Amino acid sequence: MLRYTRNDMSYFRYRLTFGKGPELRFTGHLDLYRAWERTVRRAKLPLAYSEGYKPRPKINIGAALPLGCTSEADLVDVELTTSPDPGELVERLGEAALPGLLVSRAEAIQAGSPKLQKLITSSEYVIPVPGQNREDLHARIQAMLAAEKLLRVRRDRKYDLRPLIEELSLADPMLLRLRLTARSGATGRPDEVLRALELNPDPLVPHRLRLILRDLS
Amino acid sequence: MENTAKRGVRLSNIELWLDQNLLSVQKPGRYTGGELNQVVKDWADTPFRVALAFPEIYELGMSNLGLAILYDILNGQPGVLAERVYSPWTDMEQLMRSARVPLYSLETKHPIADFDILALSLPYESLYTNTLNLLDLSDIPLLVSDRGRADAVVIAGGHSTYNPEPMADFVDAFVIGEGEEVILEIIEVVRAWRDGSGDRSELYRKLATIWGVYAPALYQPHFMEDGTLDHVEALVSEARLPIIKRIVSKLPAPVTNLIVPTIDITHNRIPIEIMRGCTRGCRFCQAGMITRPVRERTVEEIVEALEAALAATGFEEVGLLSLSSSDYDEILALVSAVSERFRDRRLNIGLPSLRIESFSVELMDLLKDSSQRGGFTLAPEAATERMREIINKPVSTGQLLATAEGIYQHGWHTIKLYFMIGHPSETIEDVQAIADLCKQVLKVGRRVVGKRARVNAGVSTFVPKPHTPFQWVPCDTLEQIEAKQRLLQRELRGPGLKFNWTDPLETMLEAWLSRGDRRLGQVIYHAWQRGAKFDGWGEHFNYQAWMEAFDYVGLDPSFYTHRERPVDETLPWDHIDAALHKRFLTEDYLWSLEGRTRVDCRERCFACGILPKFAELRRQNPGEVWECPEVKSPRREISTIPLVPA
Repeated sequence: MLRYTRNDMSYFRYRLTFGKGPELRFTGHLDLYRAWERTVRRAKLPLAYSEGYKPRPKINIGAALPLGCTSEADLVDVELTTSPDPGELVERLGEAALPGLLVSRAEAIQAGSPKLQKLITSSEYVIPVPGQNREDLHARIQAMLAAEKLLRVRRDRKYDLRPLIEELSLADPMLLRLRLTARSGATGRPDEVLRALELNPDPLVPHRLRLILRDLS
Repeated sequence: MENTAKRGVRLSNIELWLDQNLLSVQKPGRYTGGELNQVVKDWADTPFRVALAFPEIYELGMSNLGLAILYDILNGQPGVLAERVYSPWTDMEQLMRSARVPLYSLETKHPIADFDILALSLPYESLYTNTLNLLDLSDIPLLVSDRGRADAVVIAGGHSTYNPEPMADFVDAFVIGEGEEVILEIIEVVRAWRDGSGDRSELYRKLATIWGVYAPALYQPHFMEDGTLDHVEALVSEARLPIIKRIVSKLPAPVTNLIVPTIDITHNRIPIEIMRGCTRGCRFCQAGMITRPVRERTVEEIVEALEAALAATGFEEVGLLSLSSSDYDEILALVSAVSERFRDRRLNIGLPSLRIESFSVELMDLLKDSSQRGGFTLAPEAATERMREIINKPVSTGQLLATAEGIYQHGWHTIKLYFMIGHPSETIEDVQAIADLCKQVLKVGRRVVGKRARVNAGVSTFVPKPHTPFQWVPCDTLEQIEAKQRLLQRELRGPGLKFNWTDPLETMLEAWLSRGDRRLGQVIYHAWQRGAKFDGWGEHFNYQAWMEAFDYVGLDPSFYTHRERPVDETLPWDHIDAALHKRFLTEDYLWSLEGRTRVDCRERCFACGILPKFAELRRQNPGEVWECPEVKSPRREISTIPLVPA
C-alpha cells in the first residue's frame, strides 16, 4: 500500500479529478478549500490534518481557477488517515459533494511524490465568444500571436502576457481555444487574454478543459 | 400577481443578466444561490410563496437563525415554498438599479413582488432604512396605505419589533414574539384572503385575530400636546388591546438541514439553541426580558441534532447558543457528552455567554481539544460592584479576578472583557473603574503567564430598551459618551491592552429608534430618501441625513433619547404585551435606584407576569420543560379563542 507516516500516524494521499460547474463559478479559490473540506467530512472520510496550533486539513488544490470560470478536469490532492479503494472514494465524495462540484476520478499517489504545484505546467481553456465578427477576431488573434511583448498591468503590477500564452486559436462555432502557462509565478489568466483581444470578459465563461502535467518519466 | 412588466428586465432574464454581470461586482457569490441544502420547489406547482428577507448583506443574513428556522418550517409544508433574499451591497444595488433589475429570490430568481408574503427579520434597529430600500428594490409600495390587493403582504418579526411603532407605516403585520407556529396561521389567513376578493383592511382584520399578530393599520395613536402618547385607539372591533406576544410552549427540534454557503459568512457554523430565555434578570437586557419563559432542550436532543447537522452540512464548527450557557440545567452533562462524542472529529465547539465564575473555566477546559484557543470572553458589563448591583448583574470584583486567574492558569493568554458605558447613574469614576479593572486583570495575567497576557476591552454604550426596567431612563448625550470614551482611550493603551468602542453617532440612531413612536416612520422615510442605508456600517452611516430628516419632519431627536420618562407616562409600546407586568418592571427600576438586586428567578419567582398570562400553557407543559414554577391554581374557563391568553 502507498503509505507513509508522520508522528506515528498513517496518511494516504489521493489525487482527485473534479469539475467546477456553473453553480460554483463565483466561489473563489479559498472558499473552494472549505467546500472540499466539508465535502470530505460529509462523506465521513477521515481527513488528515496538519499538526500545530491551528490544524489545517491536508487538502491541496492544484491550480486556482479564476473567478467566473467553469472546469471539468481540475486536480486536488487530499490526504486521509485510512485507505479506501479509489472507486469507493469517487462514489462517496460524489454523493456528498455540493451542487457544482463533480468528482470524476481518484488515484492513490506515491508517498513523497511532488506536490501538484510542481507538476502542473499549463492549463487549457475553451471560451465561447458568440456574436463576434470572425474575420476581425481572427486578425486580432494573429496580431497578438505575432507580437513579441504584450505589456499589461494587473493589480498595479506591470507584466508581459505574451510568454504566458502557449496556444491561441479560433475554432467553430466561435470558440476560442487557449493554452496558458500555469507554473507558480507564471500563470496566465483567460480574462487577461480576452481583454488584450478587446473583448469584455464579464459576460464570457471560460471553461477549463484540462491541466497539463510535467512528464515525470 | 405577475408584475414583472414594471421593470425593464423580465423574470426569465434575471438569471441571464446575473450570468453576464456578476463578475463586475464584489463577492458575486452573494447573489447566486444554489448552495447545498437550499430548497427549490416547483414555482408553478406551488400555490403559496413566501420570500424570507434579512435586510442586510448575504453574509449577515445567512447567519440569522430565525430565518433558517422559518425556511425549514415553510419548505416542509406541502403547497408552500420559501426562498431567500438579502440586501445587495451598494455596488450591486447600483448595477441593478441602472439595469432596472428588480430584487429577486436566490433560489429561483423570481422578483420579490411576485411572492405572496415578504417576511422580514428585524432583530435590531439599524436595519430600518435597509428595509425601506429592500421594499423599493422589490417594487413593493413602501407605505402600507399605498398597497393594494396585488402587492405582497409585508410581515416583520424579531426583537426590535417589540416596539413596532417606528416601522408601523411600512409593515402590514408584525409578529410579536416567536414565529415557529404563528407563521403557518398567517399563511392560512393570507391565502384565504388572496383567493377571495376582500380589500387589504379585511386582511388586517383577519390577521388581527391571530395571537401575537399586530396589524398597525387597525390602530391609531393619539398624542398629547407635549408630544407624549395619550393612548392607542383600536379602530375596528377585531383589533385587540393589548397585543400579547406569541410563544411556543416547547422548543421544536433544532434545524439540521442547514444551507451550507459557498462563500465565507459571519457565523459559518451549525447554530444550536440549547435554551431560550434567561433567568438572570439583568436590567439592561431586552432579550432577557422578552424571551421568557426559559425553555430548555434536552442533552439528547442537542447531541442528536448536532450529529444530524454534521452529516447534512459538514460544518467544522458548532455554536451552542443561549443567553446564558452556564444556566442551562445540564450544562456539565451537555459539554461532557458533546466533547466525548465529537472529540475525534475536529469539531470546534463554541459555548458563548458563560458566567463569571471558576466553573466556566472548567467547562471550557473540557472543550479544550475542540475549541479554538482564542480569547476567553467575560462580560461584567460594569466595573464597580455598585454599578453591577444597579444593573442587576451582581458579581464581586474578587470573583472576577479569581476567574481571570483561573483562565490564565488554564492556558488562555487573552481575556476579552465586555463593558457598557452609560448605565443609569454612572459617574466618571465608574468609567475610570473600567480602565482600572482591565489593568488589574492584565496584572493577574502578567503574574500567571508573563508578557503574553492580553486584555481586550470591548466597551459599548448602553441604550435603554422597551420592555426592560430601564425603559424610562435617559440615554447619555453625545457629549457625555465622547467624554467617557476619551477617558478610556487615554487610559486603555499600552502593551497588552486593547480597547474597542462603539461609534457614539450610531448609538444615537439606536437610541432614537428603539424607543420611538409612530411619528418616527416619517423620519426613517426621509432619512432613507436622503441616502441613509447600511446604518450599521460605520463608513456608510449618514448622521447628517438623519438630522435633516428630523428637522424636515419637525421632531426633536433628544425627545426620544435624553428625556427621563415618568413611570406613569404612556409609552409608545405599552399596547404590546411582552407578558411582563408593568408593576414588575417599575418595581425593578425603583429597586435599581436603591441598588437592590434580584436573585436568579429559578431560586425565587418574582411574578414577572409570564405565569399568570400563560398559565394554561404551563399547565399543559409541566415539569422541566419550563424553568418557571408549576401552576397550581385551579383551571380557569377556557376563553373563546383557545390558546389566546385571556
